Amino acid sequence: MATREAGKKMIMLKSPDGMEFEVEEAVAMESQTIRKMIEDDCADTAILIPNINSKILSRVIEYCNKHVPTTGATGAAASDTVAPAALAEDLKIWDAEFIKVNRATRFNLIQAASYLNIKGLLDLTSQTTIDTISDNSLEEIRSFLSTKNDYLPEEEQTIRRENQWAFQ
Amino acid sequence: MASPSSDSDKRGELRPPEHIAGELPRDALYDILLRLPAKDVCRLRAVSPSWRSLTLDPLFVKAHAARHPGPLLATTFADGESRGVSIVDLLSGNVIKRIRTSDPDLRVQRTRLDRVCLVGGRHPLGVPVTLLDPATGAVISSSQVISMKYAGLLKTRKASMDSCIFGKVPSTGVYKAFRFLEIRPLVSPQQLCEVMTLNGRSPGRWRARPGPPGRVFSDHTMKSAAIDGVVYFLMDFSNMYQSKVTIKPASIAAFNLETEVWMPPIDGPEQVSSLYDEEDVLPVFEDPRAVGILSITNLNGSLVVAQVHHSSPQSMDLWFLMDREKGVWVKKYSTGYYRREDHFSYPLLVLDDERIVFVMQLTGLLQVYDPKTETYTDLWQLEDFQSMCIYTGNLLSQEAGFHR
Repeated sequence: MATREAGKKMIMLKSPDGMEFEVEEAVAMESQTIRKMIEDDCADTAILIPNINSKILSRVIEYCNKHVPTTGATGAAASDTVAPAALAEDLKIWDAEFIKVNRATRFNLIQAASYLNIKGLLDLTSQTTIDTISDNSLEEIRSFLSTKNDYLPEEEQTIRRENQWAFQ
Repeated sequence: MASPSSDSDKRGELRPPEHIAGELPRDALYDILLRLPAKDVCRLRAVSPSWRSLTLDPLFVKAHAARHPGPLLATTFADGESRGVSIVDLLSGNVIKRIRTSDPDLRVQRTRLDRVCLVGGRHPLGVPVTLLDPATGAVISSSQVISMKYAGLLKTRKASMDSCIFGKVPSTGVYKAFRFLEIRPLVSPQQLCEVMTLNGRSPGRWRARPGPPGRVFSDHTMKSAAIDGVVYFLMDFSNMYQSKVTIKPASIAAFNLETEVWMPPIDGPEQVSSLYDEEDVLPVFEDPRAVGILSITNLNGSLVVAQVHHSSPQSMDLWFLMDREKGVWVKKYSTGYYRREDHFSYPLLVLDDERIVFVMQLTGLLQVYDPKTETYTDLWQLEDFQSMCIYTGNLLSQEAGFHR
C-alpha cells in the first residue's frame, strides 16, 4: 500500500476488467456505498467494483477527485483562498464539461452513480435524462431509453385516457 | 487482478447491481422518476406496463411526495367556457393540474384535506355539495336540498346556507360536510345545523343536528376550522343575540364529526380572553381597534387563534392549542409588525422553514411572512379569495377512497 502524502490513507478500487485505481480514502468516500463499507470495516485496502468498467470508473474517480471537499496539492483547503461562490461557479463549469459524453456513457455513469450512491454525480447525470423525458413524446422516450412498449394498443389508449391531464 | 467470484462473502467486494442490458438500470430509472414532476410521471405511465406499476407502487408514491413536498393549493379557474379546479404549487403559483367540473359555479371550501370540497354559489341551499379527488378526478356529490326535519320551514320561510365546512373522520376515513342554515324570518335564536356523510356508496343526505351550545360565528370563513374530524367555530361572545348562556370571550365551540355531537367548548388563550373582560364588551366586528380582531384557523393540523392587536404593541399573535384537555395555548408567533391589511390577513400554513403563508381577504393576494426578518413577500394572487384550500393529497395516488 502506497502513501502518496503523509496522513492520507489510500484505497485501491478495482474494476472487473482488471484495472486498479489508487485513490485517497476521502475521495473514495464521496461514494456513500464505499463509505459505508469502510466505516463498517468491511473493506480491506482493495475494493472490487462490479459491473463498472475501467473507463467509467476512471471518470467517476475524476468526478470525486474534483468534488471532494478541501482538496489541494498543498493540503490547504482551496476555499481558504478562493471565494466559495467562485469555487461553486468553477465547479459548475467543470461539471458542464464533464457531462458532455455520449448516451451510453451517460447511462453507465447514472448506473455507477446510483450504485455507488454519489448524490452530486447522480444529480448531474440524471438531469439530461430528465430534460429528455420532459421534452419528448412517449415514442421518443422509449427509443431513447431502449424501453419496450409491452402495451396492447387498446391498453395504451386506456392508460392514456386515465392520465389524460398529463398529455395536455 | 480481480476476477468475478462466486464467493459472496469475500471481503472487499460489492454485490453486483441489478442490470438490464441496454436499458437504464431499474434503480437509476426509479431515481429519475422520483425527480420528475407528478404530471410527467403520470404521462410516463403510458410508456410501458413496468413503468406504470413502478409509479403506482405505494412506496414510490410516498417517496415522490417526500421529494415534492409542495405545499399545494386548490382553487377554481375559469378559462373561456371551461371551468374547474386547479391544483397549484403554493409557493410558485404554477398550475400542476386542472380538473374540469360540470357545474360552472363552484367554490372551493377552505379545508386542509386530501380531497377538495366544493359548494356552489354564494348562498347555495339547493346546490350540490361535492367532494373531488384531484388525483383520479372522481367526484361524489349530493343534490338533496335540506334535511327532512327542516324541509317544512321552506314553505313559509327562506333558507340559505351560512357556511359549509368539510372534515374527515380519522378513525373511519369518512368525509362529512357540516353547515349552518340561515332561516329568514328567524325560527328561534338557536342556530340550525346539518351534517352529511360523503362516502360515495349512497347519495348523501342532510341530517338535522342540534345547534351549538352557544351562539357561534356561522357565516365567516375566518372564524371556523376543521381538524382531525372536529369542526371548530369561534363563539360569538358579543351580546348581540341575547344568548341565554354566558359565552367566555375567545371561546371555541367544537362539533365532533364522528359522533355528530357538540363537545364542551374550548376556552381561548387566557391572555386573549382577558382583554375582553372589561365591562363593555364590544362586538368584535364593531370596533376592532379597541380589542383586536380574532380568527381561528387550522395551521398544519393545529387549532390556532389569530389575534390582531391595534393597540400598542401592534402585532398579530398566533396562539396554538397544545393540549386540549388542559387548555394549554402557546403563542408561537407574533408578527410584531403592523400593517393596515392585517384586518384581512388570514394565516394558512407554516412552512418547514417557519415562514408563514397568509391570504389577504378581499384581494386574494398570497403573502409569506418571514419571522426572522419580519418582512412580507408577495407570492401571487388568487382570482377568488373565497375559493381556495390547502390540498394535502397525492396526485400520483390511484387508491380511490371512493369509487367513480
